[in-house]
Amino acid sequence: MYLEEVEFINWRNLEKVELSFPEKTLVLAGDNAQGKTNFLEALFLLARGTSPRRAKDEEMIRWGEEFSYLRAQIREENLHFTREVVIKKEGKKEWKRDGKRETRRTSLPLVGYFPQDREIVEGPPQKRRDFLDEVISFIYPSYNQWLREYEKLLSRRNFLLRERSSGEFVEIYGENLINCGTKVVETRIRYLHRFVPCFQSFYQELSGEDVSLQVFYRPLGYRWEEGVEEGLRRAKKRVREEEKERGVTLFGPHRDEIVLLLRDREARNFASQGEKKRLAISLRLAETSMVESFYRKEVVILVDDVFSELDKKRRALLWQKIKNGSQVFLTTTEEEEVKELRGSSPLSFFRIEGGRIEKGE
Amino acid sequence: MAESYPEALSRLISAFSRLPGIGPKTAQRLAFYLVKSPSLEVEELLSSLQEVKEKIHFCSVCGFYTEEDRCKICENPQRDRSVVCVVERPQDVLAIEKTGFRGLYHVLQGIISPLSGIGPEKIKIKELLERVSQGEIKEVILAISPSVDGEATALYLAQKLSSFPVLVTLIARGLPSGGDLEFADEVTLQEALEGRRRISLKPRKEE
Repeated sequence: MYLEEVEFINWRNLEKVELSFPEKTLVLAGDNAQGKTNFLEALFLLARGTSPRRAKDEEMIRWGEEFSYLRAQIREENLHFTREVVIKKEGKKEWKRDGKRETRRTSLPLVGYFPQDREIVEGPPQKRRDFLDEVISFIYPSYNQWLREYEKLLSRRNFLLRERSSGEFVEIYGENLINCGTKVVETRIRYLHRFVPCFQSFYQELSGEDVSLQVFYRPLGYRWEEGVEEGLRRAKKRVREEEKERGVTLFGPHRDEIVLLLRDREARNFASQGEKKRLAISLRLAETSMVESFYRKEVVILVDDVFSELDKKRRALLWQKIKNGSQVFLTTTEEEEVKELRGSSPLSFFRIEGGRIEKGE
Repeated sequence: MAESYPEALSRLISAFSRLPGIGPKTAQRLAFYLVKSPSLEVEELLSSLQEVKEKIHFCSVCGFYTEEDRCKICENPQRDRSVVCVVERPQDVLAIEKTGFRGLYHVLQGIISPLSGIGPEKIKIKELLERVSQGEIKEVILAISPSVDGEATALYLAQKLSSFPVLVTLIARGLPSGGDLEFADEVTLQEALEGRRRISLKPRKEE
């Protein structure tokens, strides 16, 4: 995929942006809080349909305005099309493709590297589940519908438990929760198997040392090797009394953990700050290569201020990995850090200040 | 203070707006229309409302609309009494009728729905089990919409029916006929794949 030109109106602090991208690498330099991340967020939303920060629609609209509008002219292989979205304070986003209303969209191959990705490594288990769920949904759309169905079943079962409904009634939803949960867990494990080798080798390269890095899917209350459906059933039986007492579902994929073990210790608690950064970047690199191989298409890459977290050697390494993306958007506070990469491929430079973007040299 | 409509008119408007699918604007439009209508038309409406309330109730066996104790479907001796099709609402009966189905029905009068406080005891499940226990029924077809709550209802029924010697089947999920494969969503397609069946070829005529 290649973004040929974009137009943003009333998007966060960007009042009006109109840019075309003849060069495949774009660097956006500027101080903090000038709108660099907002710019990338708009590109992400256009391609993937959601905000990488999970922002609400009304937060995306420029202060005091009623709506926000984004448009991109996109090229995919030999196909050109426009994608537009109108975000309103109330009601759903309105999407258009080539000027026609679009109700069902596919995600376009674009991956973003953000500073807050470190939370995937060091945050609570939900961050890692969400990361994996997003990666899988991106390349396997049915998975997303299963997740939504699972959430519906879960909210009903929790409601019944909270209301102290009859055991039989809770049981009906428990059974369907297991059926749907089995699909979710089995899919997670299947994709994790393909994801982990990628992740490991990127980490080795980026860290420059041969350390042991392992990833485990750790379901709550059973071992998946014994069979997921059976396991969920056993886990459910085990927590039965406690669920009645606490009035909430205590087993299932919404409580499972994905453990990153670095040197046989949980990275979440024991990895250093530098290691956490590199782990987070490696997760995104592995995501990128999954997307590449599943879509058999080139991926657009967004890198939000991630370079400044790395030393010179690792910056060069990361650059080697991502510069082959069909298009790369980098933001930075330190122009010099990025300029040193210039040798290898042409970059177009832009500066952003107070939401206004101007061409740099 | 601004004047409002005379009491009788306001009462009619608020009565209309209690009906499903009717908002305040439509309720007003209907009321104004009736005020202007000839008395004959209003009387006709009045008497049909009365008649519906007096005569129509649910069949004591299957729960479909009837003017008698039992509905015409249950009374019809031509119907196959070994097959019962379970549906959510009486209007679903007519939808299935159009397919040429000629067995009997059972209307649940709702589906299990925890978020609206509808448990298994609030719909006609006990009645279904009673019918099945009489032994004449050999197959129960569950024709319930494939929503999260619909599936829960189907599963619950299947569990309850498992203690009887009946075949319990669920209507298929998948592609609509005349549908285009390209425009189907992934989950529907996947269900269609899971529910695939063997094409049975008729033996060729001997020449």
